[in-house]
Amino acid sequence: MPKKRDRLEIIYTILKIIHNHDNSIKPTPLLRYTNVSSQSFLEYYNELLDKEFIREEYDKKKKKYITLTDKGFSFLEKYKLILGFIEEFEL
Amino acid sequence: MPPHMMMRQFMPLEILAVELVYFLLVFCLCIFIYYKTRDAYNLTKHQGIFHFRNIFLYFALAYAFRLLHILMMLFMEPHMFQNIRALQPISLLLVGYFSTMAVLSVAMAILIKKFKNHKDGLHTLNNSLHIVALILGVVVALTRSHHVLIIVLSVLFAFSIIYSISSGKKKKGILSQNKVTYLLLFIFWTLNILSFSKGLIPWELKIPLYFISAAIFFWVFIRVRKRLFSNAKKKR
Repeated sequence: MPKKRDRLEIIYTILKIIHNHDNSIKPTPLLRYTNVSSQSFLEYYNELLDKEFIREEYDKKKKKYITLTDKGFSFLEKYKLILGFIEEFEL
Repeated sequence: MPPHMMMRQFMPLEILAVELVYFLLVFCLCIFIYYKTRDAYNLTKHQGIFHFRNIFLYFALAYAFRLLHILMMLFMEPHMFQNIRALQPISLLLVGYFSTMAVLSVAMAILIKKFKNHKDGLHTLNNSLHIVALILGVVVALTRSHHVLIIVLSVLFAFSIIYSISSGKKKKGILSQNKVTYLLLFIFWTLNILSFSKGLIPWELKIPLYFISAAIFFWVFIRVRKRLFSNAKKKR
């Protein structure tokens, strides 16, 4: 049975997906690629908005897109280091 | 003349210099560790990182008030500075509070994986740590006995280590490198508290003890720096 992803890993996945889509993706494909339940996705999504890792933007047709903020980019950059730190100190 | 009488007598200023250098080393290392892990915590809000940082924040403060307490003991003759002598219980209270918080943070850092699925309970538990530390600080100040502090902290620490060993996976052996580090930090803190009892630890022994104690903090600092910063520099 595959290991259940932890909170940090899911956050990393969401941010990585946005990053891999030229830093602009609609909410529905993001949910699909993230591969979590809609309810969990909504919790993570709101948390990322609150923490200012992502922001919502609207195009001329008023369609919503999600992009990474500087903080989101910083998280992606430091994720592996932080993961190594958590493992090293068994946190 | 008995051997202990033949030992060189240290002057208060020499003692003060040693204590000050030791304090500055430990305090700076603790604050560096706290500061270096700031980004990792701000980005993740990871509870384990929160408690890990708190260990060093509270140890820094405990060592600061320990120095203050030692200064009071060093420079106050029994009939002098009665008003300042009255402050001794307050410095003991603060040493008791911050060192209990440091040891409780060690316990939380060791046991945090067990609480991962109880977010609400974790918040209450974090608040109750302060209450426990404050009660213990007051007891230490009222009894003016640091032995109470050592006994309670030893029980708390032993419980968290034993619980962690008995319920954890034994991938990294019974005592991992981390638990050994935490154990050493605790042992050396206990020795630091014991030095409140005049003459219990001779000065000739204190200097190597201080050196090893500072080396342990330095070792943690190097590990933190290596994990969080060395790879980033290589990438650039």
